[in-house]
This record gives sequence, C-alpha cells and structure tokens, in this order.
Amino acid sequence: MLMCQHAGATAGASMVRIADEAPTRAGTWLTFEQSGEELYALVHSSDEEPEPGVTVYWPAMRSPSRFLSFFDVASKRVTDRSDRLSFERRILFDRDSGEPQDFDGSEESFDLADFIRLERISVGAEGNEHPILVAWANLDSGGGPEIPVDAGGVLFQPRHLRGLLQPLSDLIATTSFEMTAIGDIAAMLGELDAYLRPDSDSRKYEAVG
Amino acid sequence: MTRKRIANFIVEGDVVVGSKSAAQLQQGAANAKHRVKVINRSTLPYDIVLKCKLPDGKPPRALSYSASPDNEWQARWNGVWTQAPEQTQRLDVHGPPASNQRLWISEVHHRLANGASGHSGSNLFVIITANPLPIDVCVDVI
Repeated sequence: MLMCQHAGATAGASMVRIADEAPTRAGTWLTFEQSGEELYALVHSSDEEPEPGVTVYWPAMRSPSRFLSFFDVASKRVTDRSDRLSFERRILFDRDSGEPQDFDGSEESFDLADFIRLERISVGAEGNEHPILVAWANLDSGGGPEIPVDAGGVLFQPRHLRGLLQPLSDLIATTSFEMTAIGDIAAMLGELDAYLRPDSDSRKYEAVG
Repeated sequence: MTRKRIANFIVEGDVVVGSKSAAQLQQGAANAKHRVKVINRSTLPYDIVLKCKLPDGKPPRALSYSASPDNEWQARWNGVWTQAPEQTQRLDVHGPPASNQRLWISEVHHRLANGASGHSGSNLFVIITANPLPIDVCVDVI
C-alpha cells in the first residue's frame, strides 16, 4: 500500500490513500480514501483511443439540474481551442420506452426520464467521434434501501482533470449520498490526478511497509 | 396500430417490446425466437448474465455478456455508449416454434465488471423483441 502525500501538505493533515487498485481487462479500478470518505474511479483500457478516459463514479441522488450545471461549466473547460471540431449531445432516456431523445434541459423534461447523459464529442480529422467529456446520472436510483454506487459518473480525459477539479468536487459533494466534504473530495481528485500523471512535480510518494 | 401494456412489456403492432431496466426485469415471456438488446447508458463496463427457463424442463440456458475483451460482445461494447451503442444477441430455443411455446427469462444478473458485488447496475436497459408475434404473451409473477 502506498501512502501518497501532495508536496506542501501541512504536517498532521489527513492523507489520501489508495484503498484499492485492481487492474482488469476493462481497465484499472481505483478507490481513494480519506477521512472515511471513498472516491471510485476507473481508468479505462483502450487500444483505439489516443488517450484512455477515466470515469469517476459515486452514489448520486436524483439531481439532474446539478449535473446539467456542472456540464455547462465543464464542457467549456475541455474544449480545445486549437481545434478539431467538437459538439455537444444531451440525451435523456424515456422512463417507459427506454428510447433516447434530445432534450432542452427543462425541469419538465426530467419528469419523463430515468437517465440522462450529457456528452462533449470531439471529431477527428477522419470524421471519427471521440467523447472527451460525459456526465451521466441514473435518476431512478436511491429510492430503495440499496444506494447504487454507480448512480452517477463523469468520464473525462486525464489532461482535463485539473481544470475540472473544482466543479467536479462541487458536483460530487452536492449530489452524493455518502461524500459531502468537498475538501476531502478535492484532495482525492488531486491524488487521482497525480496517479494519472506520475511525472507531475506535485506528487511525492512515501512507501509504507 | 394497437398498443397495450402487459406487465413489463409493451406490445406494439407485430413486435413485442420489453422495456425495463435490468434492475427491474425479473421474468418475462416470448416466443421461440427473441432478441435481447442491452443498452449500457453509463461509461462503466458491466458483466451481464441472462438466464432463461425453457418449457421443456431442460436446465436454464445462460446468455452471458462479459467484460472480457476476448468475448465478441466486449470487443464491440466496451462500456462507452457512443462507441458501441447497443448489442444484440438472438437467443434461439431449440425445438419447433409452436405458437403457444413460451420462454421465460427468469433472471437478469448484472454487476460492475470489477466483480464487486452490491451494485445495482440499473444503468443497463434491457429490451426484448420477439418475431414472429406470439399468439400469447404472458408474464408469470412469482
């Protein structure tokens, strides 16, 4: 087990640790822990994409407007000005038929949906589409005794995490059934950033045991 | 076009469509041939097993979707919806497709592809279609 500490952290501050790191064919599943809070992430494995994505997921309560607000901010931050075309796609899935349909983001449209998916798609030189940001939420979760840990999530490219850290921390803190301490969430996302970019100067490892 | 709801299924014209999230679909009925479509609406990969109870008393057949890249379904469905939006698998029941033959989908199991238990997986949407139209469509309630 590695104990990870950001450079500059104050002495005695609670440290983020990697509670679980499980590589599988689908990717590497990670659990970060601090002060009893846990953050889950999957680093996707892919042979096709130039930069595999990362999905951070958590037991989200029904809060479509917060996911929409997050996406409005995040979508601008991941758009590469040098660019490559990109576009947005906002989809809700009808509760009865399961069919996907575009939506306008109004509160009324959410009443008909049990799932929303918000995407920023980058278009390559050959016309191939590649999602660089996906925010999704199961709107029917949390109603029963079991709170699904995969009720909400955000997929992003690792190079965008620093720009998304604040709005993503805020989204998780305000929608999670379990994690509410935004400082702890931000620290765990910061550790995820250091994990994804081990050559970053902000990381210092201390091996334990 | 006639449209009505039978338990968890919607019958429309000559196609029987079952549309419920995987977390809610418990059992159903279809004719000798049917098609199961599983749509993953999230960006996380899942392992899915559909178990079907056959009217001839044989052991249930299991139709598996695995997160393994060696499996053809994973090769086309890696959990990111925009890359592989839906997968379709036809489950054939051996024997004559009698009009009154019924097939029960007895169980739907799903979990995150890291093998962790306790995740509902209701980000999956299961659609069942049947062709030809069964004379009788019923749902057993256990």
